[in-house]
Amino acid sequence: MKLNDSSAAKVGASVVSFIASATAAFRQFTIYSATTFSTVISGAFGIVKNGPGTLTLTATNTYTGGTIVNAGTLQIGNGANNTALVVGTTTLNGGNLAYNLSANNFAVSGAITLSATATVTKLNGLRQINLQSGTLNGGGQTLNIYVDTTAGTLPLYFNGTAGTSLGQINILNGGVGQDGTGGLPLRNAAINISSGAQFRTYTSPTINNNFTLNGGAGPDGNGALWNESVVAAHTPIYTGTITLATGTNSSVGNSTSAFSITGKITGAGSFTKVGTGILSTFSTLTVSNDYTGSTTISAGTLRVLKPFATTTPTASFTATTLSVSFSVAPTAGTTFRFFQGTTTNTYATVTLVGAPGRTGVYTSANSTLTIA
Amino acid sequence: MIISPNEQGWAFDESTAWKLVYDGSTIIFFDETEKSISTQSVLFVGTKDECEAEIARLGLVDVSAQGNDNGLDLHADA
Repeated sequence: MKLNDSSAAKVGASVVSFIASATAAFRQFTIYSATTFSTVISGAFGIVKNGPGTLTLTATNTYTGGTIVNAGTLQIGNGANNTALVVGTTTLNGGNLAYNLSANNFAVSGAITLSATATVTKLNGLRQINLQSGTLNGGGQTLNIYVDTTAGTLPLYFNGTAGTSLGQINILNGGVGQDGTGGLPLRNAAINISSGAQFRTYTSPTINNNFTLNGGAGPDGNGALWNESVVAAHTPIYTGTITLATGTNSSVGNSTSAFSITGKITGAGSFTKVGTGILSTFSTLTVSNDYTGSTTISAGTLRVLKPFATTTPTASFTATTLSVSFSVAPTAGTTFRFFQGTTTNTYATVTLVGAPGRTGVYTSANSTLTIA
Repeated sequence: MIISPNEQGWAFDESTAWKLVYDGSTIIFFDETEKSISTQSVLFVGTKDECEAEIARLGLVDVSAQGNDNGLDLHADA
């Protein structure tokens, strides 16, 4: 379909599904009820989506002037068409940009620019979509992300290039990912993860966002925060503050890969370690985890590391023996707590290496080793 | 030689000799180090050959490879 001129229709609310009008630069669609365009839109112009209804594009369009969404939903693909695309830069002045593509790991290129609060939706839970190769210009705006999980839990990945940062990201449903191979387009913004939703990583990105977790283990049970890589060398690092919302219990997990949280974990919520891998959290003199909820290790390892003096002691143990090695000799009265979640251990013997003349008292009730 | 524990059951050594700590048949520590050792397990101090002979004689097993990967680690409430 080539739109050369205005084709504005009379407005009759019960029968008119859209009004199209044309300018030299754009063809404007004002949609009142769901409308699908299945033929190719071509030409040296852009398209503008107005009105509350949904406009679905299912062809491999070739128009070159970019896409603007002012209101309603612009849906790309209908779940049966693998190549439906918007071309060039997409500007979201509000409204919803939805993808319903049938190819797995479908790569969508082209820049996305926000100038107001907007929503990006991934439909078709049977397919993963990668927004890549393009730049995400957040402009300090709020981006709501909704991933439909009705038919599956595969995520929407943002793998493109970082432009200007978003101000706020709300993951409303499903899984949203960010890979370390791109420019981390979601960087900097505060991310609020609704109960049951998920933020996931792959490879080894450094995630600097502050997060608020509102409970749950994500749509697939792998965690509200999840590193999905099974490569041991992949080590995502979360450097921002993670707030556990009051009265919630949020899971954080990984597979065989490592996972580190160097930022502060705070809030009145609880925290559960899931997955077989090692999750390390760090407390320093300036960053000390102070969340007040419970901690549960349902799988894998949770390490809570806090340097003592200039170093961190290392511990090794069997079922009945505990050995702690110090590179800086501890003073009497220093207490080391073994962070065990719901697990308690009793050690028959304790060995201290590098603690001249010191002994230790291990109290299983609160998992502490006190130097005497 | 085995270092006798004190009345509280702790054995100490601050020499630079090879140190072997074991509990039952499990080796807790075996190294040549200037670091002191305080232990409630059995502490054997000697040359490397003497320690290895003790390991062989008792059939001790080194389980240090188990590391600390079963859900525990240190948090110093200093």
